[in-house]
Amino acid sequence: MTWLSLAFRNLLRNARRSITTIAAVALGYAAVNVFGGFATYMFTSIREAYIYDQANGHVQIWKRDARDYGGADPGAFLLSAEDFAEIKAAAEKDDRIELAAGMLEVRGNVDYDGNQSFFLGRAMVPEEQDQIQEKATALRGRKDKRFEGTAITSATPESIGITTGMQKNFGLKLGADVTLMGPDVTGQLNGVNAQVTQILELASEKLNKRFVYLPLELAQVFYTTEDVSCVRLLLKNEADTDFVTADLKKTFADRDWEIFTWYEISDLYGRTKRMFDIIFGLVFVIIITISTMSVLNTIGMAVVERTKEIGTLRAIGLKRPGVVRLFGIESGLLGLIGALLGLLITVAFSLTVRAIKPMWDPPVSSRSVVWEIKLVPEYLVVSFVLLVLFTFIAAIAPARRAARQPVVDSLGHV
Amino acid sequence: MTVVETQKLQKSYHFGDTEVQALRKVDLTISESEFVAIWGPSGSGKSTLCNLIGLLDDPTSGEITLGDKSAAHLSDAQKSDFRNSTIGFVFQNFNLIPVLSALENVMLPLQIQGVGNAEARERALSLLDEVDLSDRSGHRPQKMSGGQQQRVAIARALVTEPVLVIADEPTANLDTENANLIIDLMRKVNQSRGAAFIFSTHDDRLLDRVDRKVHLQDGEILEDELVTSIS
Repeated sequence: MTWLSLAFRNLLRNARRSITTIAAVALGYAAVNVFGGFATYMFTSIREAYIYDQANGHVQIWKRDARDYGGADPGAFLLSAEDFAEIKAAAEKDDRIELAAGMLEVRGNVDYDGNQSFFLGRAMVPEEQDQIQEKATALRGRKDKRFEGTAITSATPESIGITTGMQKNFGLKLGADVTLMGPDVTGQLNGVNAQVTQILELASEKLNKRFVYLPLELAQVFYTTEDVSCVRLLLKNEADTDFVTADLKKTFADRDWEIFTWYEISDLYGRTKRMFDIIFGLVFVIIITISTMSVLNTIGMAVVERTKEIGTLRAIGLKRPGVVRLFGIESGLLGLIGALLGLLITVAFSLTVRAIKPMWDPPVSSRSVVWEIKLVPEYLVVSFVLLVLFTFIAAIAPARRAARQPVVDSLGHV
Repeated sequence: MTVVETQKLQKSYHFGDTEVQALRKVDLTISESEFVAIWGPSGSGKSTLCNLIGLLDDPTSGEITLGDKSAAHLSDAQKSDFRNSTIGFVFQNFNLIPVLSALENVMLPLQIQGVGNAEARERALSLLDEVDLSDRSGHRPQKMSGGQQQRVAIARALVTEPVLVIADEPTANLDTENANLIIDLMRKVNQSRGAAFIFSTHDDRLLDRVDRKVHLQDGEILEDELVTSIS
C-alpha cells in the first residue's frame, strides 16, 4: 500500500462526488484549451491571411514615409528600379530569403460599360504572387479555391482580377473588357485596357469592394514607371523574420528606406491577438477558479466526513504534514485525472472538428472558411500543470485545519 | 521498569463560564508488562486519563513521563513519533481505515514510520498470524465481524512493538464470546511480548481478568488494587 493508492481508494469512497468533481475539472480544462485552440486558429488565420493570402510576405521594404504619405503623391515615394535591383541582389545572397517581389500600388477608376468605380490596385509579377500565396494553409474554404476564372500569368499581361464586391457592383462577367483610368506618377491622366479573367475574394470586406489585382507590367504601364511601391520578402522560415529584418536594417542603414516586419504593419493581427489574450486570460482565471472551488468543496466535505479517521491516523503516529499530504494527493489526483480527461476531450473535439470541417464566416474574411480548433502544446501543458497545482493547493486549507485539530477531538468526532 | 508515570495530572474543560475538572492531581505509575484496568462510572475521567497518557491530549497541569522522557516539552511532531513507536492504541469502535485491507491496516503504523513495503508486509503478516487472522489479511473491515476487526486493531497496535498499549473500552462493542477472545488475546500478547496494557473499561468480563484495577471517580483515584489471582 502506498499513500497514492490510499488516496485513490479514498476518492472511490464517494465515487459520484469524485466523478462530478473530475468532470468539472475536465470540462474546465477542455473549455480553456478549446477556446485557446480556437484563438490560436484565429491568430494563425489572420497571420497567414496577411503574409500569404494577401501576398504581403514576411518583410517589406518601403521608401521612407511612403506608407504614411505615399497616397498623396505616389510618384515621390517609389523605390526606383535600381533600388529594387539592389534589394533583389541582397536577397539572393541571403539563404533565409526565398523571394524578393516588387509590388506597385495603383489607384484610379475602373470603367465598365460606361460605369465607373474607384479602385485600389496591387500589382505584382503573377508568378511571384502565386509563389507567396501557395504557402497559405489557413482560412481556406472546403474547395480550397482562391478565385474563379483562369490564372493570370506573365503571358497574359492585360489580364486582371477584380473582387467579388466589384463584380457585383458592375454586374460584369468573366472575360469582360474594362478600362483602368487615373493619373500616372507624373499626374498625367492615363488609361489602359484590361480583361477581367479572375474574380477573387479578399479577407477584408472593405477591400473586397474596391480591389483590383493586376500584373506588375500592366500597372507600370498604367503609372508610366518602372519603379515599385515596395519590395516584399518571402522567407523560408517565418521564425527568421526578426533576424532578417535586423540584418537588412544594418545592410541598408544608409538608405532612405524603411523596413517592416509583417506584424508591424498588420494592425489587425496585433489588435486581435491582444483582445484574444485578454479574453483567454479571463476565461482561464474564471475556469481555474471554478475548478479549484469544486475540488475545494469536495475535499472540504471529505475532510469533515473523515475527521475521526484523521484522528486515528494521527493517533497511530501520522504527523500534521502527513494529513495535509494525504488530502493534497487526493486533491491532486482529482486535478490530474480531470486534466487528463480534459486533454482527451480537447483532442477528441479538435480531431472531430478537423474531420467534419465545419464552415463559418470569420470577421477577417468575406467568405466562409473551414474553422479549426488547434492543439496548442503550450496551452495544453501550462493549463494542465496549473490545474493540477491549484487543485493540490486547494486541499491545503481544509487539510491543515483538520490536521491542527486536537487528536482527541478528531477521534471523538461523530 | 516504569513505562509511564503521571504526577499531579490535572485536566479541566471549560463550557462557557463553567469549568469541569475531569482529572484531579492523578499520580499513577505503570510498569512494564502490567495489565491494568482503569475503571469507574461514566464521567469519572478514565478516557481522559488514557488520552493524556497516550499523548492524544494535553493536561491542564501536571507531568507525564513515558520511560525516561517527559512529555511536557515534546512538540506535536515528537509526540506523533512517540505515539507511533512507543504506544499502541485499541479503540472501542476499532477505528480501522475502511478502504484498507486487514493487512494494510496493520502495515500502516510501520509505513508512517518509513519502514519499507516488503518489511512492513512481512511484519504485519506475522502479527495477523499471531491474532489468528492470516486467512483474512486481504479482507476489508466491513467484510469482517466486530471481533475480527478488533483483532486486526490489536495487531495494528502491536506491529511497531510498543512498550505500552492503551485500549479504550476494547470489549464494549463485542459479544461475550468475542470479548473473551479479545481479552485472551491481549493477555497472551501481554505475557509473550511484555508490553504493558492499560484499559479504560467498566466491563466486568475484562475487569475479572486484569492484574491491577485503578478505580477512578470524579477525576480522582479512589482505589488502586493489585489482583492476585488471574483467571
